[in-house]
Amino acid sequence: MSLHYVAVGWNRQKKIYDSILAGSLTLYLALFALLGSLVHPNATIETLLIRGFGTAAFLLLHVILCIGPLARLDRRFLPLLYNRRHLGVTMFLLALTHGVFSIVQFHAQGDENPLASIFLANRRYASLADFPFQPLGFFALLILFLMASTSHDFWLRNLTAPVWKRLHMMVYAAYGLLVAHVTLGALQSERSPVLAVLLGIGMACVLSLHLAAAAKERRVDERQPATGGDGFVEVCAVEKIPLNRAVTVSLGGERVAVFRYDGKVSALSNVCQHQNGPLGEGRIVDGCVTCPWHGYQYLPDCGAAPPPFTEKVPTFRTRVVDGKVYVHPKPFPAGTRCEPARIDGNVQEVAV
Amino acid sequence: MTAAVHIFVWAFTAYLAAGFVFAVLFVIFGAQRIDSQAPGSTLGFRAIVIPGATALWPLLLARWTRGVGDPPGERNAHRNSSLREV
Ligand code: HEM
Ligand code: FES
Repeated sequence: MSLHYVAVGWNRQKKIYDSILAGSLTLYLALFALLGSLVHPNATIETLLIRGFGTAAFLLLHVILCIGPLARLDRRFLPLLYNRRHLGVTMFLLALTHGVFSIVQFHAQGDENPLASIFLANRRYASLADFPFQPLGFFALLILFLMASTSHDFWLRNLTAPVWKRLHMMVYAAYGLLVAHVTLGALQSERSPVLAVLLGIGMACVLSLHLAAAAKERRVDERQPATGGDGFVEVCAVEKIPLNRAVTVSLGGERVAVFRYDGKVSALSNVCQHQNGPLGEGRIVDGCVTCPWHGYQYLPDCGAAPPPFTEKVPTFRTRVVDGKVYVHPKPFPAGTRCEPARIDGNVQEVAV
Repeated sequence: MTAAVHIFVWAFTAYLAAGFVFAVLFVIFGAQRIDSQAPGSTLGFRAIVIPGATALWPLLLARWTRGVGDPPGERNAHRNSSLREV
C-alpha cells in the first residue's frame, strides 16, 4: 500500500517473525553440524555445511508449502502467511549457499567450466541408480531465484498479481525437481532410512494439506445460487453473514465477498489487488474491508482503498428483501461506488 | 552432449551478463519512467530490484523503450466483465 518503494517494509510484527526465523535456523544448523560430526566423525566441515544448508532449505520449503493450505483450513495460521515472502527469500539464500558450496566443492577444481561441470561430470543420464541429480538441483535453484528476485512489491505491481502468482506457482515444479534431487542423490548414498522416512512424511503433509484445502474451496464454488427474474442472485439469509465479516459466493467466474456491517450489506470482488488474497476471509476493521493476508484495506461501498492509497477492486449491487441477501452478478469497474443495501430491523447475531 | 552443454552455459552467462548491465542502468534511469511509484524510492529499493531485472530484463526493456508510464492493470474474470457492456 506504499506510495514509494522501500527495500524491505519491516514493522514490529515482521521483526519478531524474522527474529524467530533467524534463531531457529541458527539453532538448526548448529545442531546439524554437532550431530553430524558425532554420527559421521569422518565427515568434513564442507560436507556438513553442504548437507546442513541443503536440508535447512528443503525443510523450510515444506513449511512454506504447507502455510497456504493451513491458513485456508484454519484462520489461526494466518499470521504465518503474513510474512511468507521473507520465508521464501530466506529459503532461496539457504539453497544458494548449498548450491555454491557444492559447486566449489565438486566442480571448481578441474579445467571444465564449473557450470558445465554440473551437467558433464556425471553423464549416466540413462541410469536410474546413478542418475546425475545435481542438474535437477540447478534447475530448482533457478526457479527459486526467479521467485526470490521478484518478491518485491515492485514486481507484483509491474507483472500484475495474476502473472506474478502464476510465476510463483512454479514453486511446485521446483518442489518436484528437489524431491528427485534428494531422492536420487542423497538417498542413493545414504544407508540410514532416516532421510527417506522424513521425506515421505514431508511429502504426505504437503499433499494431504493441499487436497484438504482444495476440497474446502470446491464446496464454496459448487454452491449454485438461485437467480431471480431481475438478474439478482440470492446469496443467503442476512443473519448467515456474521457482523463485520463476509460470506463468499461464486459469481461471474470468480468469488464475490458479501459483507455485513453497520446495518448494511456490500459486495466486492473477492480478489485482493495486492497478491490476490481472499478478501471474503477478512473482516471490517475501522470501516474498511481488511485483507486477511497482508492487511490491505478497501472501503466496502466503493471497493477503493482509502486515500492516499490507490488499490481498487470491482463492486456489485446488493439488495436485502425479506431477510435475504441478493447480489447482481454483473461487476462494476473497480472502485465504483454502489449504494449498500440497508437491513431493516434487527439481525439475530450468531456466534462465529 | 558436451557441445550442447557449452552452448547452454555460454548463452545463460551471456543473458545474465547483459541483464546485469541493463539492470544497473534500469534502476538508475529506467524505473521511474515505467512506474509512477518509483520516483523518490530508496537506494535499498533500487539495489533489491537488480537481481529480478537481471533475470527479466527483456520485459523491462520493452516497457522502457515503449515509454509506458505505469504498469498494466490487472486482469481477471470480474475486472474483464466489469469493463464489458451488457
Ligand atoms: C546448483 C544447484 C545444486 C547443486 C550443485 C547441489 C548439489 C548437491 C550435492 C552434491 C548433494 C549431495 C551432498 C552429500 O550427500 O554430501 C546435494 C544434496 C542435497 N541437496 Fe542439493 N544441490 C543444488 C541445489 C539444491 C537446492 C536448490 C536444494 C533445496 C532447496 C537442495 C537440497 C538438497 C538436499 C536436501 C540434499 C540432501 C542433503 C543430505 O545429503 O543430507 N539442493 N545437493
Ligand atoms: S493479498 Fe496481500 S493484502 Fe491482500
